[in-house]
This record gives sequence, C-alpha cells and structure tokens, in this order.
Amino acid sequence: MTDRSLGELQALVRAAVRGAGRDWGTAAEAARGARWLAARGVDPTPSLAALLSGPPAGRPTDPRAPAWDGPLDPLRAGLALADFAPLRAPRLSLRGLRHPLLLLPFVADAAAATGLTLTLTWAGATAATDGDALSLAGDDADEADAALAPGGCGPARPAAARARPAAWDALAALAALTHAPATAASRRGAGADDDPLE
Amino acid sequence: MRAPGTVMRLDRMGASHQTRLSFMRQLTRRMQAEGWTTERTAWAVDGAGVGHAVYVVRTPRRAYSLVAFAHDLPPASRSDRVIAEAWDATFALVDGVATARDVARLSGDVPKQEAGRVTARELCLSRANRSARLWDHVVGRLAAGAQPDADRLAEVGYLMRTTAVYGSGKFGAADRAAYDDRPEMAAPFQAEMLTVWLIRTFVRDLVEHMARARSPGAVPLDPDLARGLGIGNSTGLGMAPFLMNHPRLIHRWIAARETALARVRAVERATPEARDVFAARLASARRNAEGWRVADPVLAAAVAGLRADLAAAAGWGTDGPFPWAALLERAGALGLEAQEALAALVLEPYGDLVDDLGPGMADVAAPARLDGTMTVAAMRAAVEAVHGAALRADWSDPAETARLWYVSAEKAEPRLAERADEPLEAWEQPLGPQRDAAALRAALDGFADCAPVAEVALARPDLRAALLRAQVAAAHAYAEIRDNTLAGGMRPIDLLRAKLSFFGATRFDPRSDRWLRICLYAGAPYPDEIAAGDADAWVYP
Repeated sequence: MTDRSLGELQALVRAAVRGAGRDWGTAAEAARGARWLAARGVDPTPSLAALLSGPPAGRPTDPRAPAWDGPLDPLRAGLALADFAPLRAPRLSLRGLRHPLLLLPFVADAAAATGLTLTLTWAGATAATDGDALSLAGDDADEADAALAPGGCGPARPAAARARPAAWDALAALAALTHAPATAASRRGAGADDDPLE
Repeated sequence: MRAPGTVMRLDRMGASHQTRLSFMRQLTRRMQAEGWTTERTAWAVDGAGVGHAVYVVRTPRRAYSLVAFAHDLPPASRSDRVIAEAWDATFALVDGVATARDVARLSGDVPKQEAGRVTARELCLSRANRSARLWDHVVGRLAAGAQPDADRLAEVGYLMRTTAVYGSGKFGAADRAAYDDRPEMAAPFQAEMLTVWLIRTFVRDLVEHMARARSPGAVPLDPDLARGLGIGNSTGLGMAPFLMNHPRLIHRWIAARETALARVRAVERATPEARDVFAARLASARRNAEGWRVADPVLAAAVAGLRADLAAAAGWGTDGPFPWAALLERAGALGLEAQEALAALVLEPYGDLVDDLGPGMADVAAPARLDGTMTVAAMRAAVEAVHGAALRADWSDPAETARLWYVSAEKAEPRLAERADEPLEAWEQPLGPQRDAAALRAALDGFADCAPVAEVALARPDLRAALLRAQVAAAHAYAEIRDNTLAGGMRPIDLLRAKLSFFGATRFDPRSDRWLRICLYAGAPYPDEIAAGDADAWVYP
C-alpha cells in the first residue's frame, strides 16, 4: 500500500467520517484519533472502513454507569468516555462494542484527563495507555464485549512518522461524498482568472 | 494589548501589513546570522528552457535542496487555477543534499503536482508560471546586451509567480511534526519560505540562461534590478479556510504581533537611532505606497487614503515621552491601512525587543480536546464573551447566511457559493463559526446551568465542534474572527491578506473579492548577497 503522511491520513478520515453522515465535530475527533493510532504504528483504516459501512450502533444512555449496553459505536462511546472521564469511575464494561481498536485514542484522552494508565481488554486483545504511550497485543474485532480498568502496562509501541493505510481507497470513496460536483457556474470566480497577457 | 474585538475584524485583517515578525524576514535574518550558504550543484536546462537544476542550502546543522524542473509550456495551457495540469516550472524542497537519484525519482511526480506524490524526504511541493508580459521583455533585452526597462519591472514586480506552495504532509511530503523540533524550522512556514526564496534564485538563473540561449552576447540582469524582483503569487479561496481551521495557531501569530506592539508602546523615550530608523522606514513605506498599483476599487481608495495618512504621520514628532504609544493613539484617527502600516513601522527599530517572539508563533501543543467538566453556565459565559451581540443577530435572515463554503470535486478546491443560487447545502463545510456559536448559545438554554458540557456533547453531537471552539477561544484571546464569515458581501481576500501579511507578502493586488496577486521577497538579498547585504529591512528599499 502507499505510504502516506499523518496529515494526509487525518484529512482523509475527517472527510470520510463526514461523508458517512456523521457531524463535523465527530469527524474531526475521529481524524485526530486515527492520526494518534497511526503515529503509534497502528493502521486504523480497515476498522474505520468497516465501521462506516456497517450497521449503525448506539451511544451510552447513562455515561456515568459502570456498564454500557450495546451495540456501541466506538466513536460515540469513545467521545462519551473521554468527555465524562473526570466525572465517573474509571472502571467500565462495554457490551457489544464495535471495533474496540477505534476506542483507544479516546481511552488515551480519558487517561490523560484523569492521570491514570488505563487498560482496555476485548476478545483476547489487550491495550494499555497513559495518554501518550500505547501498548497493544491482539487484533481488532467487529464487535466484542470490552472492559476498561485502571492500571496495566506493556511495551510501548514505537513512534511512526508515516501511515500505511490498507483501506485508503474505501475511505477515499466516502470522503469524495463531501465534495460537490463541479459545475461550470461553480468553476467561475473560485480563484485566479487566467489572463493571457499576465 | 489591543482587544480581540478590535483586531480580529475582517476589515482590519484585510488591511494587515508585513512586520519584522513575518516568516520571510525571520528566515532571512537567520540565514545571515548563521551564515547559510547556497550552491547550485546542477544546471541541466537546454536551449528551449527545458530541464532541471539543483540548489543546495547548507545551514550549520543540515542541508536543504531545491530541485527545480523547467518545462516548455504552451502559452494557451498556462493557468494559475488550482485545476491547472501543467506549469512553466515545478519544484520540490528536499530534506538534505539532493542527488542525481533524487532528481530522477522526482522527475516523474513533481511535474504532475497534485496528480503525483512526493515522499517523506520532501518538505515542499510547488509550481510557478511566467509573467508572460515581463518574461519576453526581459529575455529580449538581456539577449540584446541591454537591461530591461526598470518601470516595466516595477509595474509587474516578478518574472514568475507560484500558484501553490504545499507543505505539511500534503501529497506525501513530510509532516511538519517530523521536523518542527529543528531550530531553523521552529517558526511557522520556514520550509515554504525557503522554497520560495530558492525559486527566486532559480528564476533569475533561468531568465539569464534563456537570454544566452537566444544570443551569445547576452548580459546578466543588473543586480539592483534583480533584487527588486520578487516571486509573485496568486492566492485564491484555497487559503481562506486556514484562518478558520487553525484557531490556536492564528491566536499565536496575532498574540506575538500584539505583544510586540505592547512592548514598543511601553518604551518611555526613543533614542535618536530608533527615531532615525522609524523615519527611514516610514519614508520607504510612503514610496512603496506611491508605487502600489491596484485595480480593485475598494483597495485603490484605501491606498489613496494610506498615502495621505502616511504623509500626515510623517510630520508627527517622536521625541516625546512614550512616543510610540502616543503615535499609535493618534493614528487611531487615520484609516485602517495607515493604522496597520504604522503598527508595523513602530516595531522596526526594536528587533532587540520583539524578534524573540518569532519562533513562538508556531503551535506545538497537543491537539485541543473538549473539557467535558466545564459547566453549561461557564460555557454560556465563554460564548458570550467571544461573540457578544453577534449571537443575537437574526440568523434566520438569509443575508446572515448568504454564503456557503464547499469543496469542489475538481482537485478538492475550496469554493464559495451564494446559498440561494446553488443547491449545495449537503456539501457545506463548517466555515461559519459565528453562526455555529449562535446555535450553540441558543441550545445551551435547554440544559441546567450546573450540568457539565459533556452532557451537551452527548445529547447534541452536532454542537461538539462549537463547544470545543468556545473553549479554545476562551483560553486564546485572538483565536476567533469576530465577524460573520457567511455574510453576503464578506470579502474572502480579507482572510487571505491577513495570512499573507504574516508570510511577509507585499504589493497586495486583489483581482476579485476572492483572489489576489502578491509579491514575495521583493527587495530581498540573493544567496550571494545574504552574508553582507540587508537580511532584515530589505522590504523597505
């Protein structure tokens, strides 16, 4: 697959999430999270492409509760986790969480907001983060019951300067939905007119 | 420091002038202070003006190279539009010493620009087109053993103009984060500014080469004439979203400038040297204003006012107590162009006081994220503090949302439509922060005062972006533009000029309300002049 800059990946994810029908704020957060994962050598694109083309899932109804019922969308659940982290206990049971890998950047936000190291486990996988470093063993799942708890450690993944997105094209197709088709009218007056004498 | 409500208005932003904190001048000062050298290591351009060249810049710590490709572009194909597909010259800035292998690798992709890709070894990708008016004249004169007409050079100001300078990870180039810890890259846009400075040297070499190709008796361009030439640029709507998409960064630029102004206002007495420097810069600014040609009627009127205002200010004394504070206070009665020009001029004698603010203009903090614990009451106060009365405008009035920003499928080019004329709502980009803040303010009334905004974000994900913007604006005074960017009659060139003035651009020349020509590095030293020439005040010939 083509090597991409982190900025290109972030820009694409923002447009793709918007193209899939989410609001701009969620799209921006998903893009920030995608860059966070890619900068730690984790390719978020296959999970994102699957999430955005899959059946819709929900958000937590009571963000302060110790267990959230699914099916849970990882972006909606992740944003609630990060937003409410200082307002709730760190232990959390997430039932029917889609693509738990995509929750990790928001687990990092929660860790940074509370000063804790947090561990997320699901279907034979374990990830831990202190907000900056990430350790990860195991693969993403389409949907799994996941558990979040304070503590944990593991070898931190090394920083990656570039992204290697396997599902770039699928996301690009979604991103293209945010572009209006060009028309002769729209082409006029958008930018520099051409003056042959110039 | 001046209030955000004064400074972050589109009309004043649209009257911005370059200052000594501009990114171009930060670069040229550093080049001289650190003894940077530039060597042309390859010149393989044929008699038809086709081929490549390599320029290697050596700093104390590392090297950067411009790889330039010259093309034989049919005049009918020449276009400054983002949607162009071929150019007179294309460029890449390589992170290191560019080798023949780099040139071979880049020769396939760089000429394609957006249709190609570069790698993490490239920092910038750019392209330029000739000024057809001036190019043929200069080549012809030099070939005939004579110099070009100085008035014609002054009228246009450049032989080539860039139509994009891409950095920061675009099209595969290195992310800024990959090099922003280098001291020479700490200030904003240094890689881009270096690229343009090297392009200017290439352009001079190319025009002399073409003259020699035409006639062996050709002469080089007179150094004084060459120095007066800059690199032009056509800037359109592509740049406009930047001012709204990077609020914390914009705050850092404006805050640096306003802090510099505050330091100079606090100067109790001006030394004779400082007063002399100010007088010389003001005289130069008046000459620049005399020669500043614009077709746009709005700016033409403003420039006429500027000439008169600067003439008046030239008669004001600077020998009293707190002379600069007094002068700027008095300037409040002048037009916006003069106010902003004088704000730039008073900084000129005080490099020792203000230049240290330059590197801090970059934004290196981690991306902002929502603090969900902030209460609704505190959020309400934050939104009110930033936008105030604008929140209570009649947002249902079509005039308030007359414009709609969107991205076209053609080369992902940002465009601006009249909302009523084209059915583009489905593709609207989030570039109306004042409108969005008003929607947020109204929605907050439906939540308890003591509720955390995490609950607002959960119930109303569509308000998340506005919630975060409000928190950023509460912590960064100059982050938000205090005008409605969707209003009918709003001039996108006001946004463009604000950013371009921080680059160090001069000779603003609007061609419509949404694109303008500018000049970069006019008056600046060339590589062989950096060591001994004026690497700081070159913008004031």
